[in-house]
Amino acid sequence: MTCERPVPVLGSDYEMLRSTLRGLADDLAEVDPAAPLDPSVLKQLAARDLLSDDGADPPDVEWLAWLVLFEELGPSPVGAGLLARVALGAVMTHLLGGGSAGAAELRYAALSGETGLALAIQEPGPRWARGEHATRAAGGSAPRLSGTKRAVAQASTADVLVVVAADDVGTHLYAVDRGAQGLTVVEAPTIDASLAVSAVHLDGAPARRLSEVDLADGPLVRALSFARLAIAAMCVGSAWRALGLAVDYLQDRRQFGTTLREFQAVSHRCGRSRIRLEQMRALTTRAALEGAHGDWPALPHSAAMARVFCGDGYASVTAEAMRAEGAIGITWENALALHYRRAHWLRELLGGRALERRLLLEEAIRLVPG
Amino acid sequence: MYRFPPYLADRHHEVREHVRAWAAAHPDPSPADFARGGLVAPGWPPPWGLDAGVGGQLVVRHELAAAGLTAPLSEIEVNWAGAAILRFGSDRQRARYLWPLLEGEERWCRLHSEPDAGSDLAMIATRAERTTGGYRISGQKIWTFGATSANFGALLARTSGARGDPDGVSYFIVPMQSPGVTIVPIKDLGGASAVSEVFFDDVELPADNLIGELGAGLRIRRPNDPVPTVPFNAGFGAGHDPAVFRLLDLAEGDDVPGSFADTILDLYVESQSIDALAILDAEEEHATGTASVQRADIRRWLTQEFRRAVLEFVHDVRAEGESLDRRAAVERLDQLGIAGTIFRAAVATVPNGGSDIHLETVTARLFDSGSAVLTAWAGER
Repeated sequence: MTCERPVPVLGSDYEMLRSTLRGLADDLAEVDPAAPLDPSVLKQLAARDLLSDDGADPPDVEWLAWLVLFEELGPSPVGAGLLARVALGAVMTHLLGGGSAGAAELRYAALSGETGLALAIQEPGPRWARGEHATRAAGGSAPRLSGTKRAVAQASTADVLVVVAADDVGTHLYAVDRGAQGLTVVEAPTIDASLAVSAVHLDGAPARRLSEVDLADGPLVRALSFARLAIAAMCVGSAWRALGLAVDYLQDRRQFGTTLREFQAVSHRCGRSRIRLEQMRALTTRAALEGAHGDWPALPHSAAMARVFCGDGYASVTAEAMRAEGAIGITWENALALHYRRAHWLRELLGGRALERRLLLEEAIRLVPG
Repeated sequence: MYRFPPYLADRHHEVREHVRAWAAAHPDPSPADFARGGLVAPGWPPPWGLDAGVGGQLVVRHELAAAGLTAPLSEIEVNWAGAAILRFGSDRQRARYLWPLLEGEERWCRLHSEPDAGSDLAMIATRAERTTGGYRISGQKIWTFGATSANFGALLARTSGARGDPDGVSYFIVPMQSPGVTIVPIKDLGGASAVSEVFFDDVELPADNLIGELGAGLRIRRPNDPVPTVPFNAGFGAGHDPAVFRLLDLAEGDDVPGSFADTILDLYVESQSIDALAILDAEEEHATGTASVQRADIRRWLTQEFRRAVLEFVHDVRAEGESLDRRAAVERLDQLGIAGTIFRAAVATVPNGGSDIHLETVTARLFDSGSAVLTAWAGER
């Protein structure tokens, strides 16, 4: 791609990481996006030491490194797998597990590729997003889960489901093994085959508890912030690709005796997208910096805002790129078709656009100074 | 933004402590107090400023706001005329002009645009003829903001070459009371007269009033380089946050129409993205020593378009607020003095070349094409 890419902002360590990840993304360019995530990809990530493992309380992650990772690998054919298995699966288990041995074991297994993890957090209706989960755990030391989870990414191929559920002492994280009694996974229709989601029905399914502290005391919002940021970063990186495809096309394609870029009606579509991309990058970076500096009161709102803006931004940049390319932009074989489906699909994760916007507005109103 | 990043304040703790100590010592500060405290132009070197970078300047703005204070800031004085004299002026010019400018004792205007040289300043026709003692100015400027109240103007005038030659334009200091200067206010669609035409009929200037080198005017008049001055429209007190907060007041409640709440949320996120761009500037400066030039173009477009959108929406909001019986919220909005000023929306995207210029600059960079606009506005050749 000849299109200008983001300039360095985070310092040399992160630019080295970015450069490494771009190399990895090039190596992975021919991977079948529908294939399961290759453990060798995970080994290369593990070698980068991306998950901090210092037993920090609360458990933490390298926020800025993950931002760069999802910007660079999010658009690659392994992007959807990394989002589902690593970000939503392993990292959220890490952040929700509160440093417990059970959560750590699952995380290691997930990051080595031995175990496919899927996170079940979303439920029908908006209450789960406010931390109120209708899925219940009962039975004390031998807990059983009952309830319905929605839009669980890659649940149908997961070995272990990690489920957020309410119990007698609060909200906790539970693990349910594939094939457990009382567990039904029903794949939902999708417009992005590489990121299939399912409804998960639990009817007294045997489970084990992973978390020690109540998730309501911080882990839940922190983990959701991470997930939103990962999605936002994936949107940023992907939108850059989509814009770059259009820019390259307009530099090559000739009509009326000149390249299409000479026509401002077309090129300014790309200029507007470039502006939007900088806004997307600013909002995601602000949130990641808050995570990196442990600014927990600020992070949830910033991450939610980044996700909402970047979800719409990716969809809009892609749509503008398609319009800039004209008829060729709408063909199946054009890479923009994948971006279009991906962009609209990413907006649906974690409760979807309408719910996310409603929650964001509520929080904005709450934060207004008097 | 109402929640300033604590890590940024910690990173620039010397600046923070300086502002706090100054605020404690000046419970009721005069404009001169702000200036002598280095708070009008914190990005300038001492003795005028604090040598603060982008992050430090954001901390200054935040600390002042936290103390309930607003520095008497003026984009034209500090970031344009003052920055040009600071960087390119002589020692005598700096000694004569900078303190009164920062203290607000002497106001300035920009004498840049002409009837046939609007965004394209290389087309300037106003002439500065060499005389024995200096220069004689003849010609006309237009769209001059603040001309009627200014003591001085920063004037672009042609000293050589034909119209269209960017290297024949020089930069001068003009006392606005000089014989031969005639100011004719232009009434705008709202009935106000913020801008004027300014005519020069053989106005005599001493040679000393040339800023920098002959023919360097179009390079000199560009501010912010290399002094990293936070633009006044960089968020953090740019004046749009209060409007957005009052809009959020109106968005509360189940009876608010969805489309209405949608627009308010969009405006809120837009305003937040402008603040986040400043955070990105500060971080980039921290990591690499300098902030992105491209982001400056992007911010200019965003802030102008955002202001237009807010003002248009505020106009719509008053009627909606009445019908929803949100009188209190509407009154708080009115207190900001922006209700009933729909005509300002029309003006918002006009200054500083106009927002379309900035979109063209952003686009030209994206396609790496040799746009004339990019050359003129970004100084790239």
